[in-house]
Amino acid sequence: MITCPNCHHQELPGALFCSECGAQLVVVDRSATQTFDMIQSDYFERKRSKPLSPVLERGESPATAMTIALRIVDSDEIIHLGGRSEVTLGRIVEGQPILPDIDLSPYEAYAHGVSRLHAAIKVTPQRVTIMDLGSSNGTRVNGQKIVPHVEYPLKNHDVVALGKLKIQVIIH
Amino acid sequence: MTTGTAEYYNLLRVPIDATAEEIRSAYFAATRAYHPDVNPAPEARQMFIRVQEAYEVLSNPQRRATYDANIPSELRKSPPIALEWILSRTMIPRLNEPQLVYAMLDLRVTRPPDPSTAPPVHICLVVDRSTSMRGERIEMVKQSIGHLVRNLRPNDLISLIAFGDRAEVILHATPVQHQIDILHAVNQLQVGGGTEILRGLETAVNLARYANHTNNTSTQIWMITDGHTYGDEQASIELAANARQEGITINAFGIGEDWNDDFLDALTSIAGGSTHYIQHVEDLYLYFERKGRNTKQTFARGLELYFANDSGINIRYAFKLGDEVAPLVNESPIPLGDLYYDQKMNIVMELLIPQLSPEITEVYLLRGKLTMEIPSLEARFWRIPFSVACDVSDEVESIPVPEVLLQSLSRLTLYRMQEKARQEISMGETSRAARRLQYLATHLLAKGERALARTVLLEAEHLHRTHQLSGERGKQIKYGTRALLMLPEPRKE
Repeated sequence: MITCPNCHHQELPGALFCSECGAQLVVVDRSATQTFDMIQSDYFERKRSKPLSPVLERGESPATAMTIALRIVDSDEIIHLGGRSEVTLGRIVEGQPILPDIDLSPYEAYAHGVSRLHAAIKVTPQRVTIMDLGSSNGTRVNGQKIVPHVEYPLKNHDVVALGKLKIQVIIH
Repeated sequence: MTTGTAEYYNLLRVPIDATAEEIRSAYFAATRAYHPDVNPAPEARQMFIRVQEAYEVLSNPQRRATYDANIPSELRKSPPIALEWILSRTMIPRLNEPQLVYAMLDLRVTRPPDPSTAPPVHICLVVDRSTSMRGERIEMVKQSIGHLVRNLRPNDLISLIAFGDRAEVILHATPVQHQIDILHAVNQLQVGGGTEILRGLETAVNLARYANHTNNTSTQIWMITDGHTYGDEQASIELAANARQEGITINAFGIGEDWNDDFLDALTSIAGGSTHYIQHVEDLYLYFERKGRNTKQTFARGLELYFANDSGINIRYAFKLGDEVAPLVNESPIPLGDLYYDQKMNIVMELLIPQLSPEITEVYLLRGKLTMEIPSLEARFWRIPFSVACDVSDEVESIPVPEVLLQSLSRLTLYRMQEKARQEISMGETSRAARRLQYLATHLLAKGERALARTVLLEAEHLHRTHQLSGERGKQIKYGTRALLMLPEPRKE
């Protein structure tokens, strides 16, 4: 017999999930193949022809030679990124080994749950992307949580939330 | 009627390489169904004579050899179906206690889709016209049938039976090209009376049976109901099992909250079909559309999984994943329903391995055959044997479980938790059931299923207060967790 680490229910050897509490009983390294499915429990509601929330349009790419700015939604302040092709966002704390390119501390980053190295924005002539750098509180694009270490395309006026700090992306 | 080169085998519903014993038992089954004493229909009499003729040839080794010599060799080529087993472990540790192994069968058609070869389908609609269907429900049923008719092919057939206290054939099998006649008949549906499912089913099976014998049509019964039937459940299930042996599939659509889901699940599982929960009556339209679409993609029908149970291994649980999701009966043969061109079918099973004695070095985990009918081939009946052996080892090492199996099982576990909670409620252990529902809600949240998790939590609360399952949420949870098991939808053409 094997014992479920979660609820101490006894299971037959070979069981993959606890039949009592549903906990997974085998350890798998799935970091490389993590996939996120569409939310399916909205199945019943989805069919009632409710308009869906706007979806990221991957094909839509900004023109070349663009300038990118970030607008802090709460304070309406604007940060210009200049011509850099990659910037990291976070907050600077004393004694930190790697510093982010843009320090968000002035915008109450700590209170909003921004990690020291939270996310990175990449700019190529074809597109602008954001990648979460494994932050504690995650990154959302238009309210949708993104998977860490995966690049997500951004378009003009998308709202990115680092923890609870909302930033609008402006692409000219 | 076709008289192809393998017609005798088709008449007896056996593959061309059938053993003498298979031919004999198929013959007895056929005579039982078509004997003039049992079945007074003129078509049945015809069939009875032809089956006799087939058996006389095939039961005689010499005559069979002569007959076989005329069968072209390309008819013997194995059908374009890929069958793959995925196991939770490929090496079985020798333990001094029973253990579990999970297996998933992956079935796919390897030939590019050619819907033109899909046989015409006869859909026998069995509509509950009890008083509770009055108003919106019956109107929606009529509209959905109209929509279905417009989406079928001209040579598909529709028949319509209404049942209440009695059953009445409103429309005999009519080709869809006579759309006006069908719509006219549909409009004559009137409500009134109770819900006696057996009456409706009997009439449907009889009607479907005759249409079925005369040509290569796939026959499906679609039962649409919103109520409970009383006292005739067992007889209905037996009838469904018989219908399946004649190649008739039964699907059910339960509208609203007051129908008996356990009964309809049992009824459709044994007949290779599935049950759909229609929470809002408007959804019927979409379910009909989807099911109607699938009938045009049918490649093989009446799949059945036979297991040789000589190794002491028990199937504890079997479940079908795919576009149609359904719990399966867990004894051999397991009816699997139809296989579509553009969708794979996955069957997940939990196997219980008994304690292994020291002299055993190998176990046959799965051994048996998969049988099916492929209407587009000249020899229509096929069986694909399979045999999966695993070495038994004294050393227990951990081998990673295939990701695809783990994913499916993590969802199946949720469905089974819900099932267990229902059992506990029926045994009066409501506080255990409520706790289980809370666990379930946690897992649903982790999977991002917020709406369903909320429903489960509400139900857990409701259970604490009233010690009863609420009909509405109970069904939402059951069919909601079941919907998680649907494989991704096929690409739109």
